[in-house]
Amino acid sequence: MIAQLIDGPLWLFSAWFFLVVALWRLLVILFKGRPKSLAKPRNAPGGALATIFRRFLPYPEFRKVSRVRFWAGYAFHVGLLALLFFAAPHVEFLSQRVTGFSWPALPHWAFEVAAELALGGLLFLALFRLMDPVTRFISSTGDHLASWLVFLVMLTGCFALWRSHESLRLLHLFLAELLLIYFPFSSLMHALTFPFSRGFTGAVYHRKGVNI
Amino acid sequence: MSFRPPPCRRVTRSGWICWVLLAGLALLVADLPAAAPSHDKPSAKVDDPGTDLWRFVRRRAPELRSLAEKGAIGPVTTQVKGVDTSVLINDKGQEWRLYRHRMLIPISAIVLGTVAVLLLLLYLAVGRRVPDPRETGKRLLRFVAYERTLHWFMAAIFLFLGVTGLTILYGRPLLIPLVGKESFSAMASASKEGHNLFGPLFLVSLLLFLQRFWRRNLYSRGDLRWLIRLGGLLGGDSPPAGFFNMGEKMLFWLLIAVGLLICASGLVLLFPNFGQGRLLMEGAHLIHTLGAVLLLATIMAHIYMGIATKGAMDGMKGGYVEYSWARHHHREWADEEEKKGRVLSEEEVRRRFGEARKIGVPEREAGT
Ligand code: HEM
Repeated sequence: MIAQLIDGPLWLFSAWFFLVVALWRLLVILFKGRPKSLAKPRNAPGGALATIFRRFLPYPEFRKVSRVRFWAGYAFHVGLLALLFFAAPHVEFLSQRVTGFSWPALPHWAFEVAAELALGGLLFLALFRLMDPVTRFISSTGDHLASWLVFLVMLTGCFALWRSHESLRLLHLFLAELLLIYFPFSSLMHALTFPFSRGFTGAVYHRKGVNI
Repeated sequence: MSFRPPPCRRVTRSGWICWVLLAGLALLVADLPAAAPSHDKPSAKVDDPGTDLWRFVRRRAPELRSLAEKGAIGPVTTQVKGVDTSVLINDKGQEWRLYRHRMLIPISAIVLGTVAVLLLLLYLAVGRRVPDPRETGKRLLRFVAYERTLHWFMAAIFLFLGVTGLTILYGRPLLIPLVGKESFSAMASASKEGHNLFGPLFLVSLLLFLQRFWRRNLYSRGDLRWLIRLGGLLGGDSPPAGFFNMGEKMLFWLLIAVGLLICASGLVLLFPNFGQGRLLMEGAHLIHTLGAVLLLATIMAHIYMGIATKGAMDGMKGGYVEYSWARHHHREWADEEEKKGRVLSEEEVRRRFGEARKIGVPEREAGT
């Protein structure tokens, strides 16, 4: 019973829930508008795109102190992205249940490398969040919860790597469904909002004559 | 009372959600094996017709080998090219299997079990009565955030490898009677995958740890005196020590040496496609397991020390230790820090942790 629930209705519910609520949150943010800027414009409109890309690197002042977090962050995000969209079981699942078409998957060795990077990077960052007084101070329980939930989803995914046991696959799927439901309420939304927030900041400051 | 770093921000609604989710997950995991069809029924016993043939071949194997050595018959050859492809039956495999079942599993279990029970008894008899360090209101920074993160990163990986490794080692005799074959099969498969994935991460964590801490773990004058007096067990007060005492330094180098050996032998097992024969793999397996048991026993003692030495965990949790603890356990280091003017007040440490409200900074200003 529980297996059918996870594989059927719960999957459909969580996927639609994620889509609708995440889209709704995005639209609310986009249509909220912003107060009129009273500052005298010092530049022609622009600057959004540059800031979106500039933010992929830390500020030069922080480059040294945040070196390890920078590499761990990239290891995690690149590894996760590769796993999410190019792991063979995911390509199969998404093509059968979501898109209707398939695309090339990673070879097995690349899958393993991606998993090492993603798991190692996230474990380090989640622990650093707890250990560093500053990140700990600015983190809410929800931030910790989001990190560890993503970690658990990835870990159970690796447990189910060879698809030898249906129960392991279902455990992974169940956690992924919880994540989809939690996603729109959490700071994980940054995965969808980051271009807008960066672009907005870039445009506002560019108008005031500052390129950040 | 020992100094503790301030806890995470208040338990919010999401905290409750977290607990509810975890409880749900526990229920689900308990129920999942039942979701898949069970193969736990007693299987009908059918004699394998090949058994007698292979038994006969194996009995003759030593005889044929000695004939080949004397040149009476030609060497065994095959058209299949690869490692060990000309070996019809590897007797050593059986020896290794028996060794694993009759020696490795029971003896290692006795060693680990004994160490665990002794440490528990020691904790009940002595450890829990160790008083907290005397409160002086002064603190010293012992480990920065990166070092603490690195320690827990390595510890988490090591403990995960320990649990999954022991599941593989003792699963059949210990877990099958408890959870049944079907559930154990899933647990063993998950453990194997998890173990293989986290192994290389342990190597990375070891190398990062080595790079960060090797200098502080070099031998220095006075370490031998510390060792002879067993860190104060013989002769009352703790002998003076630097940043790390000789016990910690020995743990560090043992961890690095045996840890690297475990990683190297693990890689030999993980990548069988580099031409290593079965014999080498069996040797690697033994080194891997014996090394792991040695490290596990040592780390159990380390965890005991970390918990029983009141005040030590403060350094690994929040970074700061009570000054009196530092003077007691690492006198030379504490004196040096004092000379450098690095002793901080408790308020200053709280401020650094952002617990601004406790020392009266208005919320707005503290950025909450
Ligand atoms: C999970 C339970 C653990 C606890 C409670 C714990 C506790 C501690 C504490 C309190 C310290 C600092 C001691 C000091 O201030 O001098 C420390 C250091 C250290 N720990 Fe752990 N630890 C744990 C697990 C581990 C594991 C699993 C490993 C190894 C894989 C490990 C390896 C080390 C090493 C190498 C040091 C530094 C010693 C040196 O460099 O000389 N710990 N630990």
